[in-house]
Amino acid sequence: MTQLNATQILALSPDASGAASGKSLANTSKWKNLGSSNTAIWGECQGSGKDPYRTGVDLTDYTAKCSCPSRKFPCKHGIGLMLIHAAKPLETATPPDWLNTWLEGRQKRAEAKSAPPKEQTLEDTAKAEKAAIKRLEAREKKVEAGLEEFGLWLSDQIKNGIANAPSQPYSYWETVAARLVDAQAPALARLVRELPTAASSGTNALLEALARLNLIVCAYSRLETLSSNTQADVRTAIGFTTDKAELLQQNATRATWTSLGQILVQEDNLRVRRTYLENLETQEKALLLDFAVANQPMTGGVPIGTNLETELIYYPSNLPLRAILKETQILEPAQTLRGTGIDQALLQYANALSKLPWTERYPITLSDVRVVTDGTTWYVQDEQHSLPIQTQDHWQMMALSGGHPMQVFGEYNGTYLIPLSMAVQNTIYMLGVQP
Amino acid sequence: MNDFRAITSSALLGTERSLLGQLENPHLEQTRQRLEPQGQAKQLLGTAMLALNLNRAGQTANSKLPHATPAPEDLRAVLPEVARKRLQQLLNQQKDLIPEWLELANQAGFRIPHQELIALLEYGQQHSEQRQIILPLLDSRGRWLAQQNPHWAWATGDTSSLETALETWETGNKAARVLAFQTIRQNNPDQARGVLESVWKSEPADERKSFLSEMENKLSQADETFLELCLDDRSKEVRSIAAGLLAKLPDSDFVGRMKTRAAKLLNMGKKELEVTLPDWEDGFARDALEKKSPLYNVGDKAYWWQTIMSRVPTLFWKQHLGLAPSEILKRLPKEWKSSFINAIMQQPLDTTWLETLLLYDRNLVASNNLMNYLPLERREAYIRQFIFGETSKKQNAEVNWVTFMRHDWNTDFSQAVWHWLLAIGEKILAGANEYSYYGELAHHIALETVTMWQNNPKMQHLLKQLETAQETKKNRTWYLQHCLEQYKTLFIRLETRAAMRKELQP
Repeated sequence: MTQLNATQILALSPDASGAASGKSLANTSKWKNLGSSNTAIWGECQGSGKDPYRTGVDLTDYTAKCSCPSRKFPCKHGIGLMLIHAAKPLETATPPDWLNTWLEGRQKRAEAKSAPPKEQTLEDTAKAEKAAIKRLEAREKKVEAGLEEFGLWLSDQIKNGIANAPSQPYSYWETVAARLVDAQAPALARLVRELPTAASSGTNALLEALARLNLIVCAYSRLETLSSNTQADVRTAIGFTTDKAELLQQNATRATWTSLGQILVQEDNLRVRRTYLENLETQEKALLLDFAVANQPMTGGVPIGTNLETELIYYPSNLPLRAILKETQILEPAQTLRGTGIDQALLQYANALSKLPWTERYPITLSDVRVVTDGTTWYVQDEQHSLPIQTQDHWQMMALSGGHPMQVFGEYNGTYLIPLSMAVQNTIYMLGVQP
Repeated sequence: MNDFRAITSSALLGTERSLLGQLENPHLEQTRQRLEPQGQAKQLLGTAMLALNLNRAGQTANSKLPHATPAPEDLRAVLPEVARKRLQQLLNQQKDLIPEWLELANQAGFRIPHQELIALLEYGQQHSEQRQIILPLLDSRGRWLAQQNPHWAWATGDTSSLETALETWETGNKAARVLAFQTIRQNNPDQARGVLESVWKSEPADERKSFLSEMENKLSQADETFLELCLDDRSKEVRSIAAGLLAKLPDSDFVGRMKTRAAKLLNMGKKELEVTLPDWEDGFARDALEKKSPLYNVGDKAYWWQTIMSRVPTLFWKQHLGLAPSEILKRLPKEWKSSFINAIMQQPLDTTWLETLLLYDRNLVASNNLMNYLPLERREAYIRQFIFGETSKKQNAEVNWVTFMRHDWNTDFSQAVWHWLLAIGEKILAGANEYSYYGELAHHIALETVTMWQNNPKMQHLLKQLETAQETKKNRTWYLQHCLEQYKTLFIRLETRAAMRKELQP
């Protein structure tokens, strides 16, 4: 079991306010009955209610449980408790009953999950499979019809010219997006909703967005001629989901992965968290996606800048990146990031584009770069080249590097890099999403 | 690139009007031809996709820009990790303890870790009075960082010694030079005046103003000649600052001139003191009086009167009128009392004046921060007698009174404060609807008294009772809760202060 440091603990918080409140609770004077065992820590914190909140943390995976009404996981009490323990390990004591009940409950649920599903009769299985196939067929029909209509709309845009597009009202695009939602192509609908933004940022951006949509539509129309991985990519681009349970059936070798960085973005009513990992040995990269609706808590998540031992399974793709994790164990904090020169990184990006032409962004790590500015734009640059960056943290990158070369990890979108973490002198620092 | 232009222009105008013709790039042309059967629109979109992705994939990185010379090595040892966390905590939620923390960190000779530099620079940006003490904590990296961003210009200088301050004075920007000048003035007042005089003529008015204001520290008769020269400065603001400084030199010619004028303005009549309003004299302008009153609702003559009064030492009145301060106040015409008091409060007050004013209106003294003129023992005695002695009197300003004693209290006085706090708490528990910010007292209480009072049975009993009472006595919950919270804040702050010291052990 590993000790997380304060930065890593704060990164577990679903949002910045939770982290800040957690920090303020990292003070033993606000707690009673603090204690720890080999596998857990616990304590009671006086909140606004009459009874103190009971907070416990399972140290095997840093999951927190708290009697407070917060819907954030972990809540501020959980974060506070972890921070106290990280600053100075809590004294060993006998776990209270409420904690044991919870830990046992977790144990049972975990066992139930890993237990084989109850036997089903052949008949049941066949029935269920039949129904599933039927549902899928119905959806595919709907999608097909929807895409045909959408393809015509796309062609019309180009036939008539896109010069007027920037002045179109919002409803002009929204109607099309709504029809795609009806046609059960939600991912495509999301891309259509981004069209007004593209239209207002210039002809190139709009043309590119339309061309990308056209490519997906065309690819779907001749899906059966494509390789199975490309098929998977096309289906994902349209909004078909992959069954997680099915994926988890696959076997993967247990390996050590480093968590490189994380970014939290808002998409419509959805909060999306992208977490990037890198295989310590092969340097393959992987992306974990987590979603939360409205103010629902973001669950799961791994501490950033840490080595993890896990089985990682990629979603099928021509450019395997998105992945899910099986049982994960947190190892020690990682020391540094391993990257390449800017030239080499751009080559990686080109290679990604050739495998998946509508790739929106790709993770790259740059080594030995400095932060510079021409007065308007900020860049990272190595001995030969510079690359624009977009971040609020350029001064922090300056402060931490002192003008010396550093390692920077981030998402590259073909135009600029969004730095998500950096390393200097054997320490990794989070950027952009700092709680 | 021609291909690209052809594609976009066709897309803009529409394929109906502008068909995409032959392209230069053989790959693109091949695709264009292959897509022809799909119709003009799809042909264009398909070719565009390839063109754009070719563009992206073939993108070469920009060329290099000049980069800053890397920061030199830091000279000081970095803060211990616990102290770094403490600083973060203070910056987030206990800003009031930051000045003390900065002082301690400086005494211990630490530097701030690089992660916290921006937070501290931003803090200094907003709290200019803390800049001098922040500077050494920034060390080389912080100064280097400040050099990269004009926003933090004040932090570019080095004031860790007289030598480095002199260097910053020569080469730094305005904000950094102000701090450097402060350091030079503190270390060697005459040298400071010398360096300022040598560049005086070439400095812009804004700079002259800032530097001259800093001469208030270590002001002495030796500064008179230079200040007298400043009365002829081009800038009105500079002249006014110089006059203010000269007024604080009792032996200066300036004060002599003011005495002559003041003597005519207030004299003993039959029973009361008689006020004479001055007429404009030519000499007034040079001594930084304005012909038109800049004060709202104050006439020209009244403004001259008040200004002249404020520029003579308070001792002068005893000699001139032959009356003790209390007599002067008594015999002043009612309508001139507040103008006169406002005027003399601009001058350093001697003990007799101060004690007279305390009797006259102690809140006036408090709100103008004049207690510091009173010797320490007198201050303590006064508070013991009038504040601690009057716990029955309802007055929420009492705590402010105690905090006006801005120095670290000795154990003896701290004990008196604790006893007083205990009495107040008991009074509130018994039914007094009072509230005040007792937590503020934490900044001054002697730390060695804390544990004793944390364990004091009476104090513990009081806190417990307050806790029960706030739940049961519904109609008084607010007062009881407020009192309890303040006492808790007090203890937490004191604990934090003690912890800070431990964490910042060099």
